[in-house]
Amino acid sequence: MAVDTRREIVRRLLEEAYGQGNLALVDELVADDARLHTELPTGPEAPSGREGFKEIVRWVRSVWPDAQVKAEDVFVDGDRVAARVTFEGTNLGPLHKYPPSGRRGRWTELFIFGISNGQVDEMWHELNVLGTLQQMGEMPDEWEMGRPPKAIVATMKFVGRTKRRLRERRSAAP
Amino acid sequence: MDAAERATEERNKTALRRLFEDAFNTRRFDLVDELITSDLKLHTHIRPGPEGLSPGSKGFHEMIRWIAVGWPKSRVTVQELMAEGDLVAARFIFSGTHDGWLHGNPPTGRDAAWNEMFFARMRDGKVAELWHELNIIGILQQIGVLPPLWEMGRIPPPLLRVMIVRKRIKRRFLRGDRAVDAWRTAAISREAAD
Repeated sequence: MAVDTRREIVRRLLEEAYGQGNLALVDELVADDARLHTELPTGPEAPSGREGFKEIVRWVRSVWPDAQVKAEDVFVDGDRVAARVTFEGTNLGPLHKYPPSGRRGRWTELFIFGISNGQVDEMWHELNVLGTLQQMGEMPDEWEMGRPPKAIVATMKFVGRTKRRLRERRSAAP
Repeated sequence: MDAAERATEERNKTALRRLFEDAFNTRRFDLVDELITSDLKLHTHIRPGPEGLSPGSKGFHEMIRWIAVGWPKSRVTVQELMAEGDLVAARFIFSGTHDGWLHGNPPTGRDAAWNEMFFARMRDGKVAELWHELNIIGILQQIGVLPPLWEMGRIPPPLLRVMIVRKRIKRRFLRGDRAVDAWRTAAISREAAD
C-alpha cells in the first residue's frame, strides 16, 4: 500500500470521523479488533475495537458537539502513522459529572496508528485531560492544588461505596 | 526513498533516542545542547513553576531538571520511534518514584509510571520544535494529589476549595528555607551546573 494511502486513512479518520462524527467511516477504516489506548475518560471501561472507536467518537460529539479537528502534521514510517492534531470545540455537554460549561477550548493531541490491510489496527492517543478541564473552569492550576486532607478523601470514598452498595441492593430487589 | 533521505531520518531518530537515553536517563544534561537547537520552540504541559518555562533551549533545560528533581530515580523507556522527512515521533513510558517536590507538594515515595509522546520537527539533526503530550491528571492521581474517586465523578467544589486553601496556607507559612519546592531545587541545580 502506498505511503499516501496510509496518510489519507489517518487524516480522514481524524478529521472526518473523530472530528465530525462520521461513524460510517469508522466501519470502513478501523479494524474490528483494533487495540485502542486513549487518555480520554470516556467511561469506566477502556474502549476497544471498532465499537470502542465509535464510542470515543460519540462521546466526543456529546461533550463538544461543534468539535473541529485539524490534522496539522501526519507522517508515515512503514506501517505506522504519527499525527499531531489541533482540537477545538465548545463544551456543550456534560463530561463525566462535570456540567457543560459553555466554554470554548483548544488544545493539541498526538496520535500513533498502526495500519494493516487498509485499516487501523492500533491507536495510541495522548492529550492532557487536566488542561481540557482547566479550560472548562473545572480544575485549578496544578500549582494551586494541594493534597486533599486524608480524612475527607476517606469520607468521600465511604460515601461513594455506600451509595453504590445501596444502588446495587435496590437493583437486586424485585 | 533515496539513501540520503533514509540516513537523515535515521539520524533524526537517533537524536531523539539520545535525548531520552543519554541525556535524561543518565542525567548528562550537558548533552542536551547537542540535540536541540538554541531557539527550540517547546509545546509542553510541564511547568516547573507557576510562571512557566523560559523560551528556547533554556526552557527545555528547566523542564528536564525539574523532572529529575521531582522524580530523582526516574527513567524513560522508548517504546516506539518513527520518522519521515524532518518529523519524528516517539512514544515512551516514564517510570519513577516520587521522591522529590512537585508543584510545591512534598515527596510521597510512591512509584508511578505512565505513557507520554513526543512529536518533533528537526533541523540539521537537532530538535527545532517539540510537542509533548501527557495526561497530568493521571500523574496527580498516582501521587495522591487528586483523589482516585475522580474516576467516579466530579470533585465536589468544596473539596477543591479545601485543597486550594490548604495549599495557599502552606505556601504562605512554609515560604523560606523549609519550602524547598522542586522549582527552587531546580534553580539551585541549574546554578551548580552553569
